[in-house]
Amino acid sequence: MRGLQSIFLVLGLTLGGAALGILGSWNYLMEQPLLATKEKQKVTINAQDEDGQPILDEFEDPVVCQALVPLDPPVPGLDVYGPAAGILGGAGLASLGIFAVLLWRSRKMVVSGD
Amino acid sequence: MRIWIVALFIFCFSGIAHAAPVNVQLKGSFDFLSDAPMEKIEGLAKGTGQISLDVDNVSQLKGTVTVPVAGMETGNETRDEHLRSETWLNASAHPNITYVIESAEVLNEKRKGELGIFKLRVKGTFTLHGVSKPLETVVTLKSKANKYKVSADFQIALADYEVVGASGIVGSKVGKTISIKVNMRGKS
Repeated sequence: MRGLQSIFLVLGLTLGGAALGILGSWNYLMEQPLLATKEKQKVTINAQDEDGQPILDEFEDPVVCQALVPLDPPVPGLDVYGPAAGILGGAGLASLGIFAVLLWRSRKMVVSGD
Repeated sequence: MRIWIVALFIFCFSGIAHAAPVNVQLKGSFDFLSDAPMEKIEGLAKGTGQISLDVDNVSQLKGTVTVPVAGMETGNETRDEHLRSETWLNASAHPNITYVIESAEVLNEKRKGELGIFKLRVKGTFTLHGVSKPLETVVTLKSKANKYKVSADFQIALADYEVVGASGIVGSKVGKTISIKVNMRGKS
């Protein structure tokens, strides 16, 4: 009974991971960040002239511009973590599949007495 | 008549020796950084300030700097809402973060033509989340004609200001201390 519970737990986690992965990958590939947080990142730009020299303000300090800029694609969210979750979920499903085949074959061998 | 001339001379001379302080209206940005083991949050806020300053006697610097909590941004709207909520900074009850400058000590002073650069140790009262604590920091003040620039870096501990936050978050996803970088400019 306990073994059955463990199998269901592993199966649930694996299917959940795969579902998240499919959903995340879909969001990522279709560039539809429906489930992503619309995160912005602080960007700092040091102003430079045409020769690449820093532009100085009236106090002889480099001019620095800062802003919170939306990222494309937005991170972090399912669109970013989704593919990784998908790989893990897929690997889990593949392992379960191999395990199920091995179990089925071993039972068959026991029944047939080979 | 002579007495009046001498009095006028003394008055004028004293005026040259000690120029009257000027009021400077400052505007600027405040960078804040929470560097916790699980998450690094960089934010920006805008603030205003008013300082009274005499470039010939900078140690008499006085003033107040105010940052509205409602204007603090971390790049994530949901997180910004949490920041303003009762669990964190409680913006409805304590809408502003303030720093009142009470005294200043000149650590270093340089003059380059019109440009004056002063490094000051400033003492004052920092108020966050309705809790006021003394705060000492080093401030760089630059002046050129009637233009001024103030910059400073300091840290505050959230626990000092009774910012508890959601259970288990401070120390894991939000740093116990917040680094603040101030950059303000103004004219007299």
